[in-house]
Amino acid sequence: MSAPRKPAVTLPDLPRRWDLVFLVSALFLIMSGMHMNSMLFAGDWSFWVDWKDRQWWPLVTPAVNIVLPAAIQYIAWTKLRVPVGATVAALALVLAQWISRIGSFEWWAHLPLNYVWPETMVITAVLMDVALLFSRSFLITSVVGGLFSGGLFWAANWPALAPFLQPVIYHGQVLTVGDVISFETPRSQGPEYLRMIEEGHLRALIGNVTAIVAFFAAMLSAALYWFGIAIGKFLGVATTKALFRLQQD
Amino acid sequence: VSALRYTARAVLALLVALGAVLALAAPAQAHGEQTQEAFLRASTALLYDVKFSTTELDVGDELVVTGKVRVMESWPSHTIAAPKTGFLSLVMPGPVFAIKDRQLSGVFTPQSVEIEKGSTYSFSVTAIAREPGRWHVHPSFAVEGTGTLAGRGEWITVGPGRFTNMVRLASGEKIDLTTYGFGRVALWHLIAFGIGLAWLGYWIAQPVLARAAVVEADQGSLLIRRRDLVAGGVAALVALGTIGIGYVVTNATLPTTLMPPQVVRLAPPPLVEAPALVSTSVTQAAWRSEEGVLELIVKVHNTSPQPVSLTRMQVAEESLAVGGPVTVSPAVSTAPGTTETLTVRIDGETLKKHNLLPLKDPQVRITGLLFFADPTGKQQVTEVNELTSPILPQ
Repeated sequence: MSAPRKPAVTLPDLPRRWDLVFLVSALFLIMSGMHMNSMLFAGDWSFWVDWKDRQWWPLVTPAVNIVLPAAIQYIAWTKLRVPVGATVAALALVLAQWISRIGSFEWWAHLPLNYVWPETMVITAVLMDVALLFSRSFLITSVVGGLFSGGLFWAANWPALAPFLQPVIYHGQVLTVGDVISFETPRSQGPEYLRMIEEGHLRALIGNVTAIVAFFAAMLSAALYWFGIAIGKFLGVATTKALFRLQQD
Repeated sequence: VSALRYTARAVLALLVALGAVLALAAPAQAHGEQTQEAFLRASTALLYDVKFSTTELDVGDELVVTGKVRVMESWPSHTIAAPKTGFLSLVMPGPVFAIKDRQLSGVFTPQSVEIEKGSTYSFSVTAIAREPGRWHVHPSFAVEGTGTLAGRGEWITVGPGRFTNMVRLASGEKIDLTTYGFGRVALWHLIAFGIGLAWLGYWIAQPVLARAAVVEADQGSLLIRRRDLVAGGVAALVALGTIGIGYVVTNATLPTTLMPPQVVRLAPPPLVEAPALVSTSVTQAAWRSEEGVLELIVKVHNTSPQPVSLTRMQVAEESLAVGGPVTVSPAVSTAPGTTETLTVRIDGETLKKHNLLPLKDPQVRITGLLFFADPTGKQQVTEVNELTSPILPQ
């Protein structure tokens, strides 16, 4: 038995061009919001290949980048019942990042792209949206979505990062490819000691740092998801509700 | 029609404005290093004896910048954290040169180094020109907690040429560092983007805004159909499968065991001071406002077997030669074993021009280096760190 193409309920006859206007406007708005948020809070971890370590990059980046996707997911689900908010946000972010990395970093400032590529959160965002679709619950989505977003961040970016973690014997010292790129391509006014990366301290489970960080990243992402929900609820839906009211003729 | 006309006019006006901004914008000159406060530039870390191997070369050619960096005894530890970690680099308009070697006191320093207050290190930075153009390049030394201090800069003209940057991995494979790994990054991003776009496309292929009215009528749950759940299941499987396959394929196709980014902290040895030629003490520093001259009274005791003379002074990145902005009286060498009291006068206009007069600083203090030399060319550096008489804002 084939599934019906149209929803079971009757939708009002609204021309699709309004969808186009809405989606294009939303895309630019979300691109700028996501990009600004990422630059402010993930910043150097996202910008530079030699900042992409096992300890801080997979902890900070997914956690700070789950807030706005959660807000957009909340708005898209509660107002339109479409489980695409996180995906739209992740796509918008990565699109804005590539525009910035190619335009500002590579073309304008001569920084090679293999030094300044951004991480991607698109795949885990799809999983977060699917979690909402199946659960229809923000509570479950925060736990499962947080798990996907934070816990799988490292694995979901491993194919891009791995080549830069190969060892190089450089002037008698062992460095990674990422370290050598950073050595050869200095950041003016950005001394190396500013890097906040894993330096090695006394700690238990030292060999499993990636798994431990993934676990904490999942928890942190799940917690910050609710910050995004609050933004979506109180700054998004509540304020627009006070200004607009949709009705069918 | 009128809306279109207004839009066209607005776009045209914006383009004209943008064109005017781009056409009228002057290229940036140097790096604004002289806008930093005098005390910061003069009393923290000083780069001196800076030499550039060339000022004209082609892309792919080598530039060597050498000199010395002194972490000053006069370091204001009461306001800035004591110097512990430093970083030698080049300041330039973006990475127009690729650094290939960076040494402090003859030690290769891949990253930041441990430093000591009062120590001097020789430095050498070897760089290959990457981009053609005329670039202002400085050696720089950054100290954690303070910032980046620049040494004397030079305009370097780079002509066209070919830049290649081959490096050998520990596995033996030779790679081009400018592009290496980007193919995998781009492919992975395209795959991820494609998955996201497919998921988004599925939903926006259906009416979007019209759903709002249904949700508003509390019938939102009816909008999710069975086929949507099937699509969600497929999307989840594709996403998880892609992550798993990506992980396995990556590990299978890379030739070596991987390692985390390295944090290499070396402690290059400070330069060993040669037997002292002189011992000095500044007994007075005074600003002669009527003459516009900064006057130092320096007691010099020559402990070497040769006569010694003051040849120059360095304040921040500026080298001030005796006979130029600096005059010394009496203008004689200090004989071996004797003590001479010198009056060293520094032209105030020169200091002012380079933003080196502590006019609005909370401490009216003069710090810098005095360079003495004997007839055989031996050089000794001594430090000046003295409160001066009032220099009032002019």
